[in-house]
Order: sequence, then C-alpha cells, then structure tokens
Amino acid sequence: MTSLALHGVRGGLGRSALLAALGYALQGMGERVLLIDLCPSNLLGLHFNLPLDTSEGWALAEREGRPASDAVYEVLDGLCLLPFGNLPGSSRHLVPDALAWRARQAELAEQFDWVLFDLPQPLADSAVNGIETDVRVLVAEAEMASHLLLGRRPVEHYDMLLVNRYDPASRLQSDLLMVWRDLFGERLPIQVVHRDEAFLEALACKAPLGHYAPQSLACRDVQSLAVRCLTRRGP
Amino acid sequence: MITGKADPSDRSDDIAQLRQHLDMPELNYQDISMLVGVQQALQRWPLLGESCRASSQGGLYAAVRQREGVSS
Repeated sequence: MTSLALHGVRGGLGRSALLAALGYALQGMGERVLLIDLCPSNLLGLHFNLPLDTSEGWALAEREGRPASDAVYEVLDGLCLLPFGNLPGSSRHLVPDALAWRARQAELAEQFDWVLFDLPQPLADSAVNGIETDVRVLVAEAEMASHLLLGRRPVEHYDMLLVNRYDPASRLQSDLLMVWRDLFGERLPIQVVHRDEAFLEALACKAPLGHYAPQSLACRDVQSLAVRCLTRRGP
Repeated sequence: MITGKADPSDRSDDIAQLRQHLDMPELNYQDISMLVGVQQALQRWPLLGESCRASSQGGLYAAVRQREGVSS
C-alpha cells in the first residue's frame, strides 16, 4: 500500500478535484484505491455521485463511537471512498489525529494499493497537517502568489511539483513555468495539468474528470500523473 | 522535411561526447536559450525579478542569481 497526499502552497488550487481524478485514473489502471476526505467541507464524495445530504463519514462515525470503516463507500469496483461526514456545527473544526490515521493506514495496507488523502489547507502559521504519506505532491498554479509561497517551502520534502490549471497561452504562466523548471527542475519533477473547463463541469455532473471527459487534455495530464505515481508504488 | 536543426533529443548525447572528447567529465553544460529566457522573464515581471533578488540570503535562487551575472 502506498499513501499519497496533495499539499497546496495555498488554498483554492483544485486539489480535491485533482485527487478524485487521480483516484479514478489509478483505479482504471487496475489499482485498488481508497480516497479519504480529511476536509471538514466534506466535498470529495460529491465527485463520486454521493447524495448532497449524505452525513455519513469517518468523523461522524468516530464521534458516535463507531469504527471509521463503517463509513467506507465502494463507489466503483476497486475504488472506495471514506467521506469526512457532516458533523453538527459546533464540532466541525475537528483536526484529524495523525497518530490515529497512521494506525488506520497500517490496517488498510492489505486491502488497498493506494490510499489518497484529501487534506485541509493548514493555517499559514500552523504546522503541516501531520498526516505522513509515502508520496507528497506539492500543488501550485503558475501565478505570483504561488511563486512567492513556493519559495518559502522546503521543496526537498516533496516528491513532485504539480502545476495545476496551466494555460500555455499566458505569457506570465509560461514564464513562471520556465523559471520553476530552472529553479526546481533538477530536484523536483514537475507535472503540468492544463486548465480545462472539463474539471469544473465534472463536479457539476458529480463525476470524476476521467469519467466525465476521458478525452480531455486535463484527463490525459492526470493519466500521466497516475503513471508517475505508479513508479513510486510500494509493495 | 530536413530543417537542418539538431534533434533536441540528440543534444544530451552531443554533450556527453564532448565531455568524453575533452576528458572533462565535470564540464558543466548550461542551456543558453533557457538562461536568456529566464533572464527576460525576470525583467518582464518586476515582482518575479524582485523575489529572485530578495532571497539572496537563501540558496533557493542561487542558480538564477548566478545566471544573471552571466548574461549581464
């Protein structure tokens, strides 16, 4: 089992949609995948057609003294999803317990080839989430805020830099990508995912990108990402 | 159609052969077009240039600073 998480240099980079698309792509390659939503916003399940009013999730199960495995949905053969769940308003700020998740990862090791975590964006002054994964992907967009925040990250802690929503027609974006290749290219592989309306439409249709628009440019990019991930697959 | 341009995929082999020919395995190859492109980008976008100069205390932008010196 190999665990993976997408870390954003800032929020709002489309990580949940990317993670849903990556999970779907890995499942399409014959991998057994579990997607875990650690974000209290509880949106990941919507990419896999879960009803909007679904309250079940690991956080709700935990609160009610049930095992988290109660809340696992098998959304496709070999593709399972563990939503965060919908907690009553007062307890929405639940912080995932890194130690508990480490123990759960060990339990899941035999059932899945991949466990993909959708992490909440940590506050700027707080420590990183604490969830340890085998593969750590840093996500940015080719714009200046990402550039400045990227400069504050220890890039050697990550396995890959994913440039999301890339528009090659933009002079600024192509310049930034060139500078990043120059700055980081030797230390950090860079994966580009092109800006594509299909990403937005896919969520509107409650499907992961690869299901909604298998021929789209962004879908091909995500498949490249999945192939790269396979090279890091553990036993 | 033959354009006379070298196939980029051959270029790394050319460099390897040059290193071997000169008996200089440590020869540091720099892509001049990339170097010029990066330099132009830093001039085109003031904040990008400033951010690269501002981090002169850290090692992150060392490569760019070094190259600024090369092309100026």
